Amino acid sequence: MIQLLDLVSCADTIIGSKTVRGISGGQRRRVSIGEVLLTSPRVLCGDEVTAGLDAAVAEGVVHALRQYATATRATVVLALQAPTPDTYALFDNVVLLGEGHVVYAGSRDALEANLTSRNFPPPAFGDFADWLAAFVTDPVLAAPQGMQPTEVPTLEELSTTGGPSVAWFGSLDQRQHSTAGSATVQVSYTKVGDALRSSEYLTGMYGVGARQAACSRLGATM
Amino acid sequence: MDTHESRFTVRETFEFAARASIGSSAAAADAPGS
Repeated sequence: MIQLLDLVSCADTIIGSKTVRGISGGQRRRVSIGEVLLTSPRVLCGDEVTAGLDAAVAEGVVHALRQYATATRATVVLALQAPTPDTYALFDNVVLLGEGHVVYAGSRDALEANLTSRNFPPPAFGDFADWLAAFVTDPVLAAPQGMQPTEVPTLEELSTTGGPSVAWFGSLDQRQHSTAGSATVQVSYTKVGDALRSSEYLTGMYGVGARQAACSRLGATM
Repeated sequence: MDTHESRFTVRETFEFAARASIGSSAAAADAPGS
């Protein structure tokens, strides 16, 4: 665990506190994640687990979670507001939510083509993840040149499900586990934090996959 | 996030967590109906 979370250099350093000098904030975050991973969750949900970390540390945390998901065939669901390109590239699947509407749900690889087919071609250059954040904040910001603001569909019109994100969140996990995949899933943007916090199988800051509770809630077989 | 015992090292913290996890698994296995 110490190696997985890149904590070798501080393995024998005390955690510390506000008054006692110890490990850094980023290292402390990774220790918290490590404590959760040691419970061997089959489903791990995290709400903004990289908040407050610099880009390199944030990528390291998500990379470690991906390694955990791959090695244990667990599912990791992370809600991230603004992943960096390198962090975004670590995910297998993406759920784009805007104002509670599911705008896209599927593989990361197919996202670009999907949006292009819906008249929202991503920019040829620049940060795709950043563009996605703008897209689900206000589609007008991401509309192609030439499209009049009045022609830009709303997030509700772009919704693929027409349903609330919380309900969809449940079906996402069910689908993931019905295929017994070792997927890492990104659930991002608005409302998801509320969904994660309100789920009964979450404990503390991180969602720990209490297996039976998750199965009961999702009707899934794990 | 700041719930760790400040006097323990990272290694010790993980050792405690691992023991607690094993303990809870054993308790679950011994529970009626399991």
